[in-house]
Amino acid sequence: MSGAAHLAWTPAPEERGCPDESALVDLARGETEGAHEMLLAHLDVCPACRHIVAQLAKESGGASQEAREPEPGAQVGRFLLLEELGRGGMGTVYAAFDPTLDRKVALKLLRPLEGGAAQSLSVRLLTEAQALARLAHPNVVTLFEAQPHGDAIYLAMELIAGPSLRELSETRPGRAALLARFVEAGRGLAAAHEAGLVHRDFKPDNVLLASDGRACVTDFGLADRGGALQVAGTPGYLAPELWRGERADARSDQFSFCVSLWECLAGERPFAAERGAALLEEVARGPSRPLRGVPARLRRALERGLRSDPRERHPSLRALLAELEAAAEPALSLASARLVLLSLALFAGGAGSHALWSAASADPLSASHFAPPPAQAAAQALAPAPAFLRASARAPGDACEVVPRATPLAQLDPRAWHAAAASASQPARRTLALAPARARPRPERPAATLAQESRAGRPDAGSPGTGGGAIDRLEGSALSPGGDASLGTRTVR
Amino acid sequence: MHAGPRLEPRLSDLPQAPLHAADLALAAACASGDRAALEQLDRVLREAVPRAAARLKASNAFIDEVTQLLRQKLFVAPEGKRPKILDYQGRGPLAQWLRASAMRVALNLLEAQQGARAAALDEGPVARLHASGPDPELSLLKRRYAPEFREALEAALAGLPARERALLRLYFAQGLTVEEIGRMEGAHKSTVSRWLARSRAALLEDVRARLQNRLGLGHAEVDSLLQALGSQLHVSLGQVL
Repeated sequence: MSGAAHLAWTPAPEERGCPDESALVDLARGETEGAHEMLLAHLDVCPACRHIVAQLAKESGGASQEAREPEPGAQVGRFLLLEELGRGGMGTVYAAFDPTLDRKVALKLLRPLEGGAAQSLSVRLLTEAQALARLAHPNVVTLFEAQPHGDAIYLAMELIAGPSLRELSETRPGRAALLARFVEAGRGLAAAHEAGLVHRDFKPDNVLLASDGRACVTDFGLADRGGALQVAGTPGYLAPELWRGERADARSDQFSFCVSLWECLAGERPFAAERGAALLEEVARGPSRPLRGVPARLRRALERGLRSDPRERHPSLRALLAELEAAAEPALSLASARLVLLSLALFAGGAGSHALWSAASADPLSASHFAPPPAQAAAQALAPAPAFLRASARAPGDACEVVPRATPLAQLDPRAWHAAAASASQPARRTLALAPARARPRPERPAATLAQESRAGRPDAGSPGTGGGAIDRLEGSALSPGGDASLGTRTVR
Repeated sequence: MHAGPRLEPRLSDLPQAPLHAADLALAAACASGDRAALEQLDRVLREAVPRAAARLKASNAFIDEVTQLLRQKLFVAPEGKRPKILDYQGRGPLAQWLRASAMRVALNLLEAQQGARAAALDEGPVARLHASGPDPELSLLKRRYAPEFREALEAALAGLPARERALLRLYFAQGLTVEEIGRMEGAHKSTVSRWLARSRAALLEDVRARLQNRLGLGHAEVDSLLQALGSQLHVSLGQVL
């Protein structure tokens, strides 16, 4: 092994003819000589070498626009950045490895703050982070720690696989399933409110389903970063009072919650306008768009939460949740009524005692477990009812607990979800694939690293360094109309 | 199996590329068993391995194992060969070479553990992204012809020169930027953009012909189909490549 050996790549039999690492380093650094074309041809067929070269090429770059952004591989506190999950107006979220506790976390790196107020803002951010960290609730993302890092701040959080409620809603899981997840998210939000925190940017993208199926509210707007002229949040979900320049409180979260739920149920938001005066006018008139096929009580509950004057909304998010859950009950009585009628008919036909028992049963579906013939028939008669009715019929008190049985999609394991998204709903899968830039599809990403915190922050289509130019990298404009919203959904001037 | 005599001819053979002499000396000292050098190398190694391995599998056990295997590979010569540390030629920084070697070890280990290299590398490109409200008509079109489109795309890709395909893979599937590819290729990023655009156009043209042939559609129909599908070419490429 001497002479010109270093110029060629030396196939090592145990590594399937792959070039040695020096050659890969050379290639990534642009320092190959003779064997360049051969190396490229090898990359074409060898995913492992492609991975190595790509990682090296990313590491040895690092200049230009993204100079201040830590790269995957960098150390932040005790955490090792693994990959970028998404970015938003406030910062970038990475999947990171915590070697001390030997687990993966989501690490949100908040942009360095600028200007004189930076210091006090940092203090406030950390104070709010502490409040969030104390808030242990299954439906709120767990914050492990918040630390200053140089002139930025990082937050280490529970890594939640997702999908988001938006993605869930696109698989058309049925109203009951959606409602159940929203009620869960609402509980998380309510707990935050009771701890004195306001989310400020609630929307379907900011609720993620954990691998155990629970809905988890993420991306708390840890501080209102705005000056007087700045509205923080996502247009389309922001309460009208924020456009009037008032401060966000629990009731503005309630508004955003109602917009989100409405959107997931109806496929579009209740108001056509997204911002400013047009939105104020429209909200004052009340939702003009229809919300078809939902119980009137549910619609009324949402309409109240969407009132222009915060004082006219539900007194608290808990009150709204109670209404939402109660809205399921008329469905129960409807189902019960059908059952009673059916039972009476059977009774008339001579199936006496069973029918009486069924008619008396408060929980019509559980009758099927006992399986007396008439009750079975009754259960079958119920079966064609929409999932919503069936679910509420099972347990009127708490739709949440029963929905998973009525709608398997509701109890999602992310893998199941992806499978479902792929098979049941091709369009959903396709759109899923519309990667935000920088979140370009990278085959090496493990499945557990779905976009985490700032799904909000759809990375901009023209993300630095993508040099899109002639290449149609993304349907960026289609993804996020209104430049502002695409760059950082969180900060809107 | 000693470092000294083998190293010298190589040094004299080394090309003009900037030489990382200190790194090379460190490697040589390690190969000859110098204790201080070994300790220093181990420090570099302990930093390099997590960076290389954690992205493949975030677990201390995995990182430890990769570290062990890499140490072994670096310093223990297999029968009739020399220890791997002597492969380092001082061209790039030693730390980078170590990361590359660590990635190789990690990939092999992962494959041994999981049975398939593909499992780690090709998982979930689709997975992490968001949805937006799609145009229902386009979606229908896309859904209806997605299999044919994919097939045509794969066939068209297979027809490209390996080099072009490799660059497309790096760009679309590995997510390198045109700048990063430009550095590898010694070309300006706008040049890389042009290459990629040309490859992409050639691909689309080929896909168009195949679809027209296969589906028996008119030119206009294929056009609107491609318009719908073509905008997603990068996505499809990410999946196919």
